[in-house]
Amino acid sequence: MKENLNFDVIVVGSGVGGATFTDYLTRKNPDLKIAMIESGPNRTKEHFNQREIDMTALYYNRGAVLAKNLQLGIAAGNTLGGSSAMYTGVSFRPPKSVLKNWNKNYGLNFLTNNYVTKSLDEIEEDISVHELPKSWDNQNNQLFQTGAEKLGIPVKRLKINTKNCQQQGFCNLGCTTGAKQGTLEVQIPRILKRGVQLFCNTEVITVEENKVHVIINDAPKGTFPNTLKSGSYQFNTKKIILAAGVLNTPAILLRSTNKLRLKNKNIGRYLSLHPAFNINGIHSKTISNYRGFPKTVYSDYFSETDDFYLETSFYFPGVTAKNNPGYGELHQEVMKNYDKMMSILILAHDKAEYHNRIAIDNKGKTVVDYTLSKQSKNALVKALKEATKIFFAAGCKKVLLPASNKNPLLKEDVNELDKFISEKYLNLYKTPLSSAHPQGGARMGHDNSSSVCDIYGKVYGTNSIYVCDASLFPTSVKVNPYETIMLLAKWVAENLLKTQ
Amino acid sequence: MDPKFKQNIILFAEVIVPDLRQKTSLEYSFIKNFKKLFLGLEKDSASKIKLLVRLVETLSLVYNLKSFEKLSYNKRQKFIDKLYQFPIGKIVAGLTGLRSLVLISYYGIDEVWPTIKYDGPIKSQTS
Repeated sequence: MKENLNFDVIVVGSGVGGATFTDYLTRKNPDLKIAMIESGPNRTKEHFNQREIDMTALYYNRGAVLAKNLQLGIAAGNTLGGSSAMYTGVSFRPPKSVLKNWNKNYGLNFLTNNYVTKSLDEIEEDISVHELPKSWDNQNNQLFQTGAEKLGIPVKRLKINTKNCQQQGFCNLGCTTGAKQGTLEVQIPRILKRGVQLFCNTEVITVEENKVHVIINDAPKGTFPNTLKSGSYQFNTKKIILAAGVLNTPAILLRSTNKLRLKNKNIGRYLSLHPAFNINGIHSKTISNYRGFPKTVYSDYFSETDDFYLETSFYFPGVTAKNNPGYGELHQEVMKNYDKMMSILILAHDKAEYHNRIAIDNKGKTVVDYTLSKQSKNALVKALKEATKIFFAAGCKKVLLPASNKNPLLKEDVNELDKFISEKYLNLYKTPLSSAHPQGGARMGHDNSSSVCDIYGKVYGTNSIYVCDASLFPTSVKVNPYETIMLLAKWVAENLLKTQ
Repeated sequence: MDPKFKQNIILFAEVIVPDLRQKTSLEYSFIKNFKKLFLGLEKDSASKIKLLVRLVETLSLVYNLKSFEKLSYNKRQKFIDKLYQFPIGKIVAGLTGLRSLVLISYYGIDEVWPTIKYDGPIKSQTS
């Protein structure tokens, strides 16, 4: 049975885009009747237990939404707070070169230096973005710096959004102390106080002008209960804000094309993913890297020339085991060195290409149709070589790679890396290639023949439907994307307020 | 999980993590973890894993003229090595996916943590 509910604004998604948008909207206009819809369950920090097995439930498909070709898995949050519930809090401003491109080639002319700086200053203050002191560098971060400095690779310090962080190191399994200033801690409590109604476990099936069709599923055991009975509902509203993340927002639009009479061929297109490898070296000494803040430094030295970033990282036993190559006795022996593992994250900058897309299958379910380009393969191979050099320069005795004809690589191999690391050894069916930064699929732009949304986030060809998440990105932003999402969410909210 | 599927998962897992074969006491915790992950997968992914396990059974009959569960440990090892070299990429990808589930399940067992010198969650130690 369908029930109707009426609102002024419905925001689909409680992650960085949706919650930031709602925060700005309700600051200026607290009288609006707003519903926030979240497909994941209602969990708060009390539900996080730092156990991998349990906490994979925070992610879609237990941590890996597979691409159609099975060559890559995407990690995306499916819980209140979206991916901000389990990101590391690494805070980057969008690079100037990217903003210049978006301004010049896609008509995002509001992205002036003044607007961007002023907005991000305000956002960073609000969510406590700061550089971590050197004294917080755990040994993994120290060794990354040692290795890179020996090789003449400049290293920069990361900014993080935390408050009273206890340096427990479980950021990707949900922050149990609430130190991480994601939407669960900052925007959601605020907007709930302002009267926003929250509907968790609620999947959006389709949207049409002023209407959102949803199914409310049962709340999983151990999470907060729903406020409405499970079932189908129609929510009526003046404005609809799609901020359900790149895996969902384009899919909702694609499922709704008939109802909306949309013929835009760009919906779902120009997907970019920042394909990533997390690789490990085995140091000669014990390194307790799973404690302490996992990421304090990175290098963008190869960004302009070779299309990748190197960041420090560290993961828990299961994911570390998955990331190390092989199986059997040798793999097990490698894992016995877990306490000596140094870890580096490779993030490749992929181009936004038309053929890479979010599509839907015949049941309307999201399909990630993505093929790694030759350019991205080259970037990953080059990055594996550079990371290997850093491992050995930092004192590792072995390095384990997903694309090598020799595993493990030993120190004496360092002068012959071209022989051991090459594209021909990059078998994407065997490697743990992943992504945590999906972008695009409803790109913003001044030209409706090459975009999905106008420069205010409104979907071309609609009157009441807006997009407000990383789906808007015209191209890859090249860095961890959440500050850029917040910047665009603020912009969309400010302009929507002007039209109220 | 039906008993045959469960049995085949354990047989596959023993090749991925040989300690599981040596320490049978870990089997209960391993299956408990695996079940938790498997039942949390989206329907489509879970169906693919089931299909893969059935395919492994069928291929075992084709290549070994024996069912997967009747292969000796050494034969099982060799057979899985062979499957990893299979010319159809999606089968290799499926094995890689199943390998991931096995490894996360195994290394999620509290009793395994001391063997890799992992101290486990802080929350349970302090609360």
